[in-house]
Amino acid sequence: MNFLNPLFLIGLLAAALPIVIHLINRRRAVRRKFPAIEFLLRSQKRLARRLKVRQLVLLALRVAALLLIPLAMARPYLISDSGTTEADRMPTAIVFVVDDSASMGYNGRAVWDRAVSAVDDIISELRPWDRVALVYASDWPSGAPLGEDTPIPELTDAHNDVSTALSKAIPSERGTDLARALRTGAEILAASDQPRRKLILVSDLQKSGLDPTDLPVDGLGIPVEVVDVRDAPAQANLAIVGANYEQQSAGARPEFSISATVANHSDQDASGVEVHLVIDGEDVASGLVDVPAGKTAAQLFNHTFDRKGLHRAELRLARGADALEADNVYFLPIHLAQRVRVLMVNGDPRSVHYQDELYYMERALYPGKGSTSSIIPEITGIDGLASYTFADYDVVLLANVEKLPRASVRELVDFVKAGGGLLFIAGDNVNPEVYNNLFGELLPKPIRSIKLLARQDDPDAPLKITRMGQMDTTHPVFKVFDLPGGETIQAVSVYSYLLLEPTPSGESRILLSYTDGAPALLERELGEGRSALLTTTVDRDWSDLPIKTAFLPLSRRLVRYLARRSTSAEASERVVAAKVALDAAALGRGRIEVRDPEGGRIVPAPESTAPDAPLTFIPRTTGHYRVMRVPDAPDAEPSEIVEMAFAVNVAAPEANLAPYPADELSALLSGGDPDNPSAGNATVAIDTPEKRIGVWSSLLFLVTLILLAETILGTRRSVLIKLWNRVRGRSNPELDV
Amino acid sequence: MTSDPTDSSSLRERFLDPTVVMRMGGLLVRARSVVEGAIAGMHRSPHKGSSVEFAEYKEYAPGDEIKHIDWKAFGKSDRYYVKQFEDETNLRAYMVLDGSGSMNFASEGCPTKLEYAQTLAASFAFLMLRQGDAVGALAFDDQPGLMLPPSSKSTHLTDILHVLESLPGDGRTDIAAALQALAERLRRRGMLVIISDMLDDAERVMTIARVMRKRRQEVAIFHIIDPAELDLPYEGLTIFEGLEGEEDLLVDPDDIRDRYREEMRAHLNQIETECREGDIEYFRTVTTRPLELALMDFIVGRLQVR
Repeated sequence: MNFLNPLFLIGLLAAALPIVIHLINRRRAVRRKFPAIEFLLRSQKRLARRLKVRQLVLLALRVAALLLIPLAMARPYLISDSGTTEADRMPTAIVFVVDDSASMGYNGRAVWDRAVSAVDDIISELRPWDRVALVYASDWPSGAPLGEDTPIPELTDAHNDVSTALSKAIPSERGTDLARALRTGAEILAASDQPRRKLILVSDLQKSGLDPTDLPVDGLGIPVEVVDVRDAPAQANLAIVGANYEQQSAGARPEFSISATVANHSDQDASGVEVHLVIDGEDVASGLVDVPAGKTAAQLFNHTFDRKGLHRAELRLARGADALEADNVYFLPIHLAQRVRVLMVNGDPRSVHYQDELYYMERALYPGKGSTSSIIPEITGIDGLASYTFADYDVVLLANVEKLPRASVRELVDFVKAGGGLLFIAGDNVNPEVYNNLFGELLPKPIRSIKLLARQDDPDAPLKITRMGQMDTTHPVFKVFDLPGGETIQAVSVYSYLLLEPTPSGESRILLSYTDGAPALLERELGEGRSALLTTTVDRDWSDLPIKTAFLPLSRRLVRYLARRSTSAEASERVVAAKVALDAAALGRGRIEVRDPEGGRIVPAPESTAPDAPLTFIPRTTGHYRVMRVPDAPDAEPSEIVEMAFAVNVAAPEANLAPYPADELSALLSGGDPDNPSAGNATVAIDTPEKRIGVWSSLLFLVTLILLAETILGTRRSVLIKLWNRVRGRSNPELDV
Repeated sequence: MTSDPTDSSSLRERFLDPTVVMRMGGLLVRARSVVEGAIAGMHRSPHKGSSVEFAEYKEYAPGDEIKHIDWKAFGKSDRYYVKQFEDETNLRAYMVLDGSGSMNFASEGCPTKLEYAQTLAASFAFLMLRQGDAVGALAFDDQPGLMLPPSSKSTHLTDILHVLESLPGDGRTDIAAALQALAERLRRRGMLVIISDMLDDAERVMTIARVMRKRRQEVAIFHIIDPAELDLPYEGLTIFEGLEGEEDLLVDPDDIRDRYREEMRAHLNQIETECREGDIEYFRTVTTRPLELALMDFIVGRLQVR
């Protein structure tokens, strides 16, 4: 037993009073002579036992009363898993905050069933005058549009509404946001006039589901009772928390690497986790991956696509891999680019075709009308550059460009960082100082100077020139040069090239060198894109590269390599219940609909009245979504805007089932410092089972009974008899003489 | 309109309060005032005008004294009637007075039982002697004390009063022993008037009383009771001390009051029953009852017996 005011226990000493009084009274007894003492003795002898018992009972009652009064004032209470506290008897307003996030589907929904059952149990013990409301604790952007987050938003005495709502519900695929739900619950309770109010949080208490900064600094101001429905103290879970793809090769049958990130949220290593790759509904590959405890591991698949366009991929863990299915699949749309658009800036245009800087390059990339090449080059001079937008192209090629306006350079930097490809090609117009100053951020290495080995008309040229030397055959561009015939690139004669400044290794990668060791082709990554520098020309001024057989594959592979790659990097990761905004400009005109994974029609709404306001909606399930353009004609079939296709997955944090430490949670919900749980005002009960049952009221009631018994037993019988007779309307009998 | 003679308020008006009587001078004065009061009361009794000597007429039968024939009655009725008279011989009465310690008890506002008994005995003696009867007295406590043989001399009253006043009012009570001692001395037929609080072994007392009765002694018992003995009116924890050397008793009277009253009632009933069965006159009186009434009870009782 525990006490709220243990100081009052000093009063227990008062229990000695009746004994002391008894002894004092004995001394104070009146002496009286009486003749008929024989009769007194005889009477007393007959009553002795009864009198003694009565005296003892009286003494016991008085001692008990004096013991119980200070005991009750010390306000004792019991810690019990059942029973009704004093506060429980008050009319109470309760908001059930029930976690319906994806993690509640753990163990075949056993956790969810436990939550429903816990709420039912609590409801069954409510009194008719108690009022209830229900709030779901899954993650909604900012209040669900249709009030799905608050199925019973107002306090009601129809308790069964809560049970009914829960019995119809199932765990969602949403993440957890306990803070929002608790705040909502507290707001509902704030409007209640019930004398007692409390929040009952029924959840698996995922730490990732409660952001302390989202809670009021000084606590919710309302007691929170927490019902922990976890399956076990530590729930193990495997999940695919991410996936991405990267185009590895171009061509008619491009090769893609597709990677799945598998997380192991448990304290035991998982070996041989089976991951499947499903493309367009067909299980095309599977692999085993070992995932250390508490870590993630990637499972990489290489897949060659037979056709371009959109492919809907799913990365799945084998069925039954763990107890929570919702996060065992990751949906990934893969877009295969159709064409590579190249903007070639000619720094030295000539009227004579073959003398033109880009004469050979243009033909290598696009041989002419009727070509089926997927590379579409466009050529512009520096003067006409203003009318082009780099972002519209996949690759920008600067051939012997003297300089660019600063604004264009800035645009070019953004273009590369956003995933575009940039290729610098050397030439007479290249001034190292200007280049370093202007393109320093983009160049793989700073340019030191132009090295002239020999003039083309120099008879000793064959002795002075250099040739293409070592190449990186592991690089996608040069992979094919490892094949028979590939060595022809080394027959290229180079008369001049750009000498480069040394830089720390790792910043750039040399793909091709001259025989004298100077770099011929090098690249660097910048943001999502790449820039490359060819230190000689693509016309015949500094080398005979354009007339060599290696030029065609080299130029095409280089452009494809530099092209804005088909990756998942730019695809935003969308999760259930997080608002999806579709770019209205990209959608063009017409009526737009979204089809969810089950084929349901969703009409996205403009976010604002602005003409270009994005169309938004909230996805409710995981899977592949399609964006459709609905023609105005009634009979016309809607057409899919393939580029806009996207997928929605379970939020990655939802897979981490690690719970919030109980003491920290207690401090947090009571407005205390999570780092110092004792600072909280302890209004939070983790786990309903533990209750403080105040027993002082029962003790005081007992004291009242004891005092009543003492009064009856201690009152002179003569008085009682007189009273009784008076009540019965009889006179008190006297002994007749 | 005549008042009810048994009404207590009217009794107080007509008779002297025992406490008042006890404040009157000596025993003689008290006795006289009581007897006078009693006789004054007698005048109102239904036996007014009756003869003390003449009893009744009886038709003559052989064997009757011829001198007792009432010739005047013969003259009127032509029949022989014989006058029957009461025994002319003076009554010999013994007053047996309890002088034990228990008699020396008085509750608040009452005379002691001994004072009451003394006054009653003195009044009785005064009355008897006034009638010419012989009165003797025996005072006793745990054993027979002073004994005065019966005499009808008027001066005998002084001796009787002396005996009564000599009672100590302490020691144990043993009525049976006193009666036994007396029985040995009584040869002639007479009357025993026992005045006591009867706080003795009632059965033994009654046995001897019955024996006395069989010896043709008339026995009358005046049972003197203090009101407190009936009701045990005390409150609070009390140490009761006996008046005759009994052990002390610490008790809350309230606890045993009912039981005590039952015991007392049983005791009184037993004495009364025994007396009735043994043809013994029994008069119970509390010390708050006017002495005149107590005396009248006796006188009236005697008349009824005759």
